[in-house]
Amino acid sequence: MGEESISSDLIRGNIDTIILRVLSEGDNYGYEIIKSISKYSHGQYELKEPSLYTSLKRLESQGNIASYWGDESQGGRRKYYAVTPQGRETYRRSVNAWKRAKKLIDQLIESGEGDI
Amino acid sequence: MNPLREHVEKLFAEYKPTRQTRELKEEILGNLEARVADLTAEGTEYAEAVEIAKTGIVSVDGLIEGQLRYDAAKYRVELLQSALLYCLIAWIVTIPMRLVGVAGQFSLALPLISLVLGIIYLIVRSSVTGENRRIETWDRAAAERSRKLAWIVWGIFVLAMTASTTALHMGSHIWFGRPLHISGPYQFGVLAASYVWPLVTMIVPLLFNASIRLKYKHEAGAEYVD
Repeated sequence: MGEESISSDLIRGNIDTIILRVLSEGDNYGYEIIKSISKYSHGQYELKEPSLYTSLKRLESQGNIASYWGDESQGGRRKYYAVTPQGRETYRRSVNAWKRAKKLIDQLIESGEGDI
Repeated sequence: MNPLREHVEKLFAEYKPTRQTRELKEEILGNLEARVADLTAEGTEYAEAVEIAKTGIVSVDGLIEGQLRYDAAKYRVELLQSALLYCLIAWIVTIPMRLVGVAGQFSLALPLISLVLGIIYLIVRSSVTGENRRIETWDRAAAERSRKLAWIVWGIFVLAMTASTTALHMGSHIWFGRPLHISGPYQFGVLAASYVWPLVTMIVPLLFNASIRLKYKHEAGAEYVD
């Protein structure tokens, strides 16, 4: 397993939170969400479209985000997503859970012999 | 047609046009167009930008709720096989009942049905080769409703048959003026058989179960992972 696949495995479990983060900075539509995530990762991570749609569908069915159609005059319509109050709460809890997990994983993984 | 629209139509070709699929289609198209616009603004040729955008989403399997895809050709062969097997078992079960003169016609019809199913099975099986995969979609909720309905109808049928058998035999002294006599194993056999034979029709709801099981077994599109 390469370095890249390890990190994308780790990221996959947090995609919902990452999307909530992007949307908590302002309503957005699919392609821009992918672009923002790529930007925040400095081009190191690109969210795949099928994963995006799966995640958005899940977040919406959980009531964490709500969607509405944009009013583009030409071309395909854009479906925008907005974080709901419940979504904000979910985001806050996920961030705390992540911080705790990160600390714990650090504790468990690093040997403390300082060879890194 | 717009090449992106064409691509999206192809992605959804195997799905029924429900409200959900129409919205997802619009959403995907909107995002693909945004991507192409973005790429061309950065200087990519339009045709190349379209190709790049298209590689971003090559399948919508797993994104559409309720509609599952399955290999219809293989499914049909196996369903026919199950139907054939059930009919043969049902027929074998009814053979001893015929000895006591119950369910005679039913028992005669079963081998005929089996024969017909067997012929269809052989025809269908020979027409299915590796290449002509036929993918169709099915709605799990609808299939489960049909299955439930099949069991309910069957349950009512069995209850009705049991009730009428009971009425006929136990009410013998009312209808025929003389009470029922079970004077030996033969009469007992007749009585038992007239209670048991309606249960054989269980093969019908069982086939609904088999149908759902086989659709899962031949589910298509597992190549898409999260």
